[in-house]
Amino acid sequence: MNRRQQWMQRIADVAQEYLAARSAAELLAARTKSNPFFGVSQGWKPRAGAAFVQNLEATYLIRMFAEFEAGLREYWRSHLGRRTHPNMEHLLRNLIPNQLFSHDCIDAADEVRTYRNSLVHLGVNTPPLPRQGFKIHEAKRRLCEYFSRLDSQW
Amino acid sequence: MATIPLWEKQTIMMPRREAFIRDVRQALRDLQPTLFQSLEGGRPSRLLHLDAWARKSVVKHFDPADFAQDDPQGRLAKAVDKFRTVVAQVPSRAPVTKAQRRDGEDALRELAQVLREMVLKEWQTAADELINKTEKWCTALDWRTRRQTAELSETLLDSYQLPQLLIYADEELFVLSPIARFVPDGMGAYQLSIQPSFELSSIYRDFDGVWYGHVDLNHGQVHARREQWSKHILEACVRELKSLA
Repeated sequence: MNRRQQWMQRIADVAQEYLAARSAAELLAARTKSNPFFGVSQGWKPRAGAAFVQNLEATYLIRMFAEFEAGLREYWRSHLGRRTHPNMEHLLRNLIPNQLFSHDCIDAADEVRTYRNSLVHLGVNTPPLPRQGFKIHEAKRRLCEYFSRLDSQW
Repeated sequence: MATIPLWEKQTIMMPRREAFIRDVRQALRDLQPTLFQSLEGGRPSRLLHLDAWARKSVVKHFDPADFAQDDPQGRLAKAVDKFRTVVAQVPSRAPVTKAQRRDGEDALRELAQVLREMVLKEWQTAADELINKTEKWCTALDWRTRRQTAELSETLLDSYQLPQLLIYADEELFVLSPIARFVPDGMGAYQLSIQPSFELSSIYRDFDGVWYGHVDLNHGQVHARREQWSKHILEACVRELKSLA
């Protein structure tokens, strides 16, 4: 498995962890329904449980993008031999892509970045501000498609 | 040929015609409801790029002279004028009204539809030329070929078809398949891959309309050398891909 495949696997692993966490959230919901004081007995307040469920997908999307960014920066540094630290937008849109990338592929990954930024900088519970939303598997598809266009000899 | 410098790579000059086409494509991309569903537990989301069409100068690079051959009746120029008229009615500092948004998006889609016909015709002609030439060289090299049709979908061009070529060379199967019309630093690209493998080489159409291939793939695509697509370069690509697979 080359580095490109390894990083794609790491992105896919985050999507798998999200599914596991969602199942855990369902189990937790059932437990707190039968015992409303379950959270308190474990040291957390009921609203923390609600926030956990509500923020679950956003949390994993942010983690998934962190893997993507780490992988892209490693490619920039170790495969392309660059020592600079460009901002992510410039790296993703301009510095990495060559003619093996379609512009739609670049745009699709960049839209995940923009959405991730809105989650990080505006907060998950800031609904009045415009933002796009992604299901985690749509984000995975977009980020892995981008990675699949990187040099196979990395 | 009028050109626009690319800020990120100063040595490459993009033709003004291409800059206009890309601006329209990007504005159309910004219009697309790329979402789909909001996060679980969240509220329905709104579009991030709402009204981007009104904020930027989508048609600033348009010059009718660049499309004189494709558009003798001036359909594109009329669509651009209509779009400019709508955008001019949007105040720079006030929110866009529902009516302005509807009119603006309609004008942009109308403009994009006219442009789509021209760009797609030109791209399909260029792709046919590439496949025809390559097929001819394969025959001369005594390699068997078979044509197939590839289905593509891109912003501005929507769904369309292009030819792809299966090449049986030296007991290996190679596929020359389209990537997209819109790629960085070029006006369309194909990839030549050896099956089954991840190894491939890109063949792209530069802003001068000439097709180029990449050889010297041994140290990765990023260090590959660009050469004008020819029988000799086709042979070199096939040989290198076979050695890498």
